[in-house]
Amino acid sequence: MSYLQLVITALCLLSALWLGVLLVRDRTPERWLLNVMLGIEIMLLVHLVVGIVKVTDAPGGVSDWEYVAYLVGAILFVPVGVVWSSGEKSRGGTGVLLVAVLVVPFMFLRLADIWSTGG
Amino acid sequence: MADRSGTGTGHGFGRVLVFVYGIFALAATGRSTLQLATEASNAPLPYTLSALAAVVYIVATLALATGRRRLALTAVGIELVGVLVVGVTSTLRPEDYPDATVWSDFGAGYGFVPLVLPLLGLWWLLRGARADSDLGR
Repeated sequence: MSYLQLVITALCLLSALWLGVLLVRDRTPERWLLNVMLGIEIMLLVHLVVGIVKVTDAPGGVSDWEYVAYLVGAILFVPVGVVWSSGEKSRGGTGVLLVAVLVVPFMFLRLADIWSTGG
Repeated sequence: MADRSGTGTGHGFGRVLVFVYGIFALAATGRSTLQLATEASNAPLPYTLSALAAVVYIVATLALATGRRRLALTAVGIELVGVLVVGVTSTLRPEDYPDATVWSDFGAGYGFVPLVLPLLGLWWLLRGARADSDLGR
């Protein structure tokens, strides 16, 4: 994992932890948490650009289209989750955000898989 | 979006369910598109199943989001049968599955979420149906 991925993963897991607390206490996320998620998203966009540059130089056997598909997929979950949860000011909305931040590290694992097995 | 009463299938826990189904719709569609575009003739069975899974997830997502309970039940039912049949056959006859589908090995590649998801979906839809009839609908 790259340093960027480690930082994003740490922020995602911390956000997930706090979202879990909010879920139990039946609260909706605070402004600062949404700002953290905005920060995660900005870093994911950088991650996308870095990843595309990296894949142009990939060793043979790495499925580059699949790699790029996962890079692009990774940037979608947080913004779509925020929009989808905004219509639901309840546990449901908080749960959507929890899923969104948990999917991102999972995408990093898939990216590492694709890179190491060459497809 | 707050179109109907709180008992709609896309509210409360259903909100989370729709989001997860959406993720799987995206994952299955992406996988299936990639497989069909790059190597369709290599492994027709898993690739057809990937495409079927994609359609089922898309229909389930839309039906849950818009509160079409019967359509959602049908899609989730097909999904449950699909993950069980593909899970069993991919374990017994792995040679028929040279490449993975979302449902291979009961969805082990996706943390078994594809196996749990239809059960959660059925629970949510049947629970909601009971709540609706209690309200005298």
